[in-house]
This record gives sequence, structure tokens and C-alpha cells, in this order.
Amino acid sequence: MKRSAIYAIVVVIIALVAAVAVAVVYVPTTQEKIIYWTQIAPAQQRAALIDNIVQGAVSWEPYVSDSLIDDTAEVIAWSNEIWPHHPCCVVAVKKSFAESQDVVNNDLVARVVRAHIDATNWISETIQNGGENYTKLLQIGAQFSGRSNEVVESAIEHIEFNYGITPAIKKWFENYTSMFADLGQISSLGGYSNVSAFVDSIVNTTYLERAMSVTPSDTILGTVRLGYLMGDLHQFARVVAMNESLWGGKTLFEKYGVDIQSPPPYANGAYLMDGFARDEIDMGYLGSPPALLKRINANIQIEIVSMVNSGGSAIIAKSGFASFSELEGQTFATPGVGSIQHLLLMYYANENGYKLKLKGT
Amino acid sequence: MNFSWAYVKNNWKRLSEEGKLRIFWITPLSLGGFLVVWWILSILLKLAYLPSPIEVFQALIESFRIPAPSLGITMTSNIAASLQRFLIGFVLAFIAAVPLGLIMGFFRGAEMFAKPIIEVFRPIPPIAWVPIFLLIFKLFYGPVMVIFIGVFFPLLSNVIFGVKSVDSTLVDAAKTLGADRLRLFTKVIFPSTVPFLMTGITIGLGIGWMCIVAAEMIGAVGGGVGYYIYFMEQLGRYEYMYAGMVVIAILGILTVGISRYVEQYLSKLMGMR
Repeated sequence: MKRSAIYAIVVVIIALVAAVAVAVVYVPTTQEKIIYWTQIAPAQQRAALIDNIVQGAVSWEPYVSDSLIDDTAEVIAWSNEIWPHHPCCVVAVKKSFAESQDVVNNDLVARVVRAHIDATNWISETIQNGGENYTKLLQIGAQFSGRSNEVVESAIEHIEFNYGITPAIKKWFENYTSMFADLGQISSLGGYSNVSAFVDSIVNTTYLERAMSVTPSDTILGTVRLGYLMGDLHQFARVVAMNESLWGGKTLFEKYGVDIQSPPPYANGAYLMDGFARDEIDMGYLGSPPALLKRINANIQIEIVSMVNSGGSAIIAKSGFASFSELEGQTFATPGVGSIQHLLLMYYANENGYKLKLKGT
Repeated sequence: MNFSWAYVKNNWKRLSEEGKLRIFWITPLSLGGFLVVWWILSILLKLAYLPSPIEVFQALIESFRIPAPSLGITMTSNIAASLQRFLIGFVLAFIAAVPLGLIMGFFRGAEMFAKPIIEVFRPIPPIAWVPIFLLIFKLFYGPVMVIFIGVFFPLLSNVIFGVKSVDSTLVDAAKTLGADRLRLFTKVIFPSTVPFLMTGITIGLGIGWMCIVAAEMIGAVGGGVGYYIYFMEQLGRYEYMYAGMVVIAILGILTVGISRYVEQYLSKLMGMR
């Protein structure tokens, strides 16, 4: 082997090792009070807490209770304590489906909303009254989420199941949109003059009004492709409505004349919005922030036709951390920047005098 | 030297006849054609997730100038984060695969012992390791180890193949001249393996880039180009997502190109071509 070739190889190896060494040793210093974040899917957050990959997490149910029941983590703050009655998941419909010339589609949306309302009412009454139905509710939740009855019971304790879109809820949607604008996550309001006009364009309450006059149907009037999120107990109303044992051998949607077809569950709301864009679904259960965000940024034409729940998220910390101030310099897992949970953590950190920063930067 | 018009014309004609000039018009035609088709489709289809080449180019420039929202870092930092992981993974794979490949190629017993284990792990795609590596090696070394797997096997295979491909005449000649096993190894076998090693590196680099993007999409700290692509898709900022993909393409072309150049240089130097 020629000497020059050996020199070339040695120089390349030394340069590689030196570059790696510099990259590993270099750690930026800062004077600010920092809380770090990294993106970890809610389903993996408990394992990440146990393995000390992160010291805190923020997610939706049942993943919060997943970590609470076995004392992996403790609650720093429930989302309702930080933002009382903040909206979370919603039912959305693809505009081209609802507004197609076929009047049946328009009627089907009202019928799906009616089934959703009945299921939501049934859940609220069942939680309030307890008894046999309550045990059944826990079993249905456990079967859907793959969690124990105990986890499901803990999860539903902090979720407010509702459907009405009040002026206060619309104000929250405006707040979320403004936060996204402040963070630079949206570049414009998609042609709307202000956030209020944008929210007015995306919220459609007419189906909620029409749903009240919908009556059961003996025949199936049509099919709706309905998307939902994986294991998300915020969307319990859909699970309950789909349970045939509760409604005399057919689903609540079928009772109102709608055949429901669902693709495999989506991992998060952003992916469900992509499902709308790919024309995989006509309606869907998803978080309101991804619905707002992708309606603007990706121009996916959907409308929010009903609420699903308020609250039901929490900031948690690995057991042993008594307060948020002890978590300075530690890392929190969030489901991603477009989620309500990420906004919540950022808001809470700011309120407590911390800056939220991406881990490793 | 005569630089007359006739000289230029004759040379141009000769190169043209030999087909060596075709690259100067076929390459721009190919890339230009691709851009025009992309542009027309973006205008005709008017899809949010199909921005025009100009929008992507603007996003690419912006990504270097302005930190990404919520990430707080520019594309330069994302590239640095990906390169850091890539280099560590690559160096670790190099350190592990080259000696192991040389030993397995040289000692029949070592190959018989190690091969069954390696053959069990080789068919598993590097990306399949992502979830478990993120738990075992955490958020920084998890993606690094995925790159390690991606680079390790092509490197190992090529080194083993290189050792086995050594010209038996050379080995016999060295032995006849009195070379012991150590000298045979250092003076004949290892030098002959270098071009094969470089081929392994080139293949490994290509696979390594694919691995880092997939690994960063599932979890990463300090950003990274793969994470940037995933992040922008989640926000619905597709022009920035495509800008990230362009960066990955450029990085891949650069690293593989450099590796190919070194490979060809060494092959020529060692009389393999």
C-alpha cells in the first residue's frame, strides 16, 4: 500500500474523530431558567419517564393516568387548573362532504352529531349515577384503550364530556389561533382579516341545532367514513356510540340511520387532518389545535361541528419531584408542537418564569 | 498549443462523436424537465401539499436565515445535529466492522462462529430497531445506533468479501518469500481489502442517511433534518418540509460523492482499476 494512501486514510479518520469529539464536548451555556422539551408520543411517555429519558411529560388521557396509577409520576397541574374549561377534542367534517349536492350527506352529518350528543349525555349521566352502567363504561374504555378499569376510572375523572360550542369555546379557539400566530407556526390567517373571522369560518353550529330534530331510522340512509385517534379516551363518546351492546344490538350511529366505516386509528390530530386531505374520511374526532392549525397552513377545508371534551390533560413529573421549580433544566415529553398539550406546557412554563427550549439546543 | 476556431471545432466534433458532450445537455434537460413538470403540476393541482419549486427554494433560504418556530434553531443547527449523529454512528460502525470483517475473512473458525449470529441480525431492517433503540440508548444515542446498524452490515460484508477476494498468487508469492501470518496480513491482505472497504463505506453512507431521517422522525434531541421534515409536516408547512428533503438529498449526494471519489482514487492507486 502506498504511503500517500495510508496518510490519506489516517487524516480522514483523525478528522472524523476530532469532529465527533468537538460535537460531543460542545455544550452551549445559558443564563436563562430553562425547561427542555422533546417530542415523544403519549403511548411511549410512561416508559420514557421510567427510564429517566425525560423527567416530566404532558399528554392526554389515558396516558396521564397510565403513569399516575403505578406511581411512575405525579401531577404537577391538571389542564383544567391552568385553563379552566378549555376545549380539547372536537368533531370535524370535510366541507366538500357536508356541502355536496347530495342532500343525504348533509343529513348524515346531523345524524352523526345526534348520535354523538346521545353518547355524550349517556356518559355524563352514567358517571354521575354510577351503578351497573358505570362498570360497563369502565370495561368499554378498558377494552378500547388496552388499559385497566382502574386507569380508565382515573382518566375520566378529569375529562369534561360535552358537545355544545358556546361563545366561550369560540373565544378559546381564537386564543389557540393567536398563540400559533405568536409562535410563528402560522404565517397568515388564510385570507381572513382577524382570528375572530377565521374561527367564525371554521365553526359551524347548524348541525348541532339540526341534530335535535333528528329521529331514529329503521333503515341505513348512508355511510360516513369516521376517523378517530388511537386509544384516546377524550373521544369516549365515539367508542360508546359504536358499542352495540348498549343500544339494542346496533350502534347508536346505526340507530340514526348511519353506517360508520373507520380506517385504522390515527396517531395524532395532524395525521387525521392528512386523512381528510387524502379523502380517507368524511368526519373525524381530533384535537381542536391541529384542526385549526392545518385548516390554515395546509388549507384542508373542514368545519368544527361539535365539541367532544374539555380538560383531560395534565403536566406530570417523575415521582420524587415535588414541584415545578425542582424541574429546572429537566426535560419534558410532549406529543408535538401542534398539540394542545405542548401549548399548555409552554404557557405554564412561561407563567412560572421558565423558557421552554428544545432539548439539545 | 493552437487555440484556433478550427481546433475548438475539431475537438468539439471529436468529443461529440464519442458521446462525451451529452452529459452537458442531458443533465440540465433532465433536472430542468423535472422542475418544469413539478411547477406545472403545482399550478394545475393547486394542492397545499404540492408547493411550487420557487416556494420550496424560498423556504430553503428562509430555513437557514430564520429559526424554525418552537424549535428555535435554523437549518444550519439541524444539519449540525444530524451530522453529529451521523459521524458518531459511522465511526462506531467503522471501528466495529473493519477489524471484525478482517478477522472473519482471514480466520475460517472465526467466520464459522460469528456468521450465524450476524446472519440472524442482518435481515432486520435498521429502521425496525428505532423504537427499542430509543428506549435502550435514549434520545441521542438511539438514532446514532440506528445509523450504526445501517452502516455496520454493508461494511462488514464488503471487508469479508475483500479478504476472500485477495489474489491467491499474491498470497502464495508472499508465503514463498517467507512472509509470516502477520506480514501476510498487513502487507498483502489488508491493502488488497481497502477498495472493497471503500465500496462498503459508500453503500453504508447511503443507507446511513436513510436511517437517520427515519430515526429522527420518531425521536431526537437537538433537532436534526429528519426531525425538521416531520415537524413541518405536522404543522402543515409543506414548503419547509420539502426544503428539509432537499437538504437531505444534497447531504446524501455530497457524502456519497466524496466517498466514491476516495474509492476511485484508492482503487487506481492500488492498481485495482
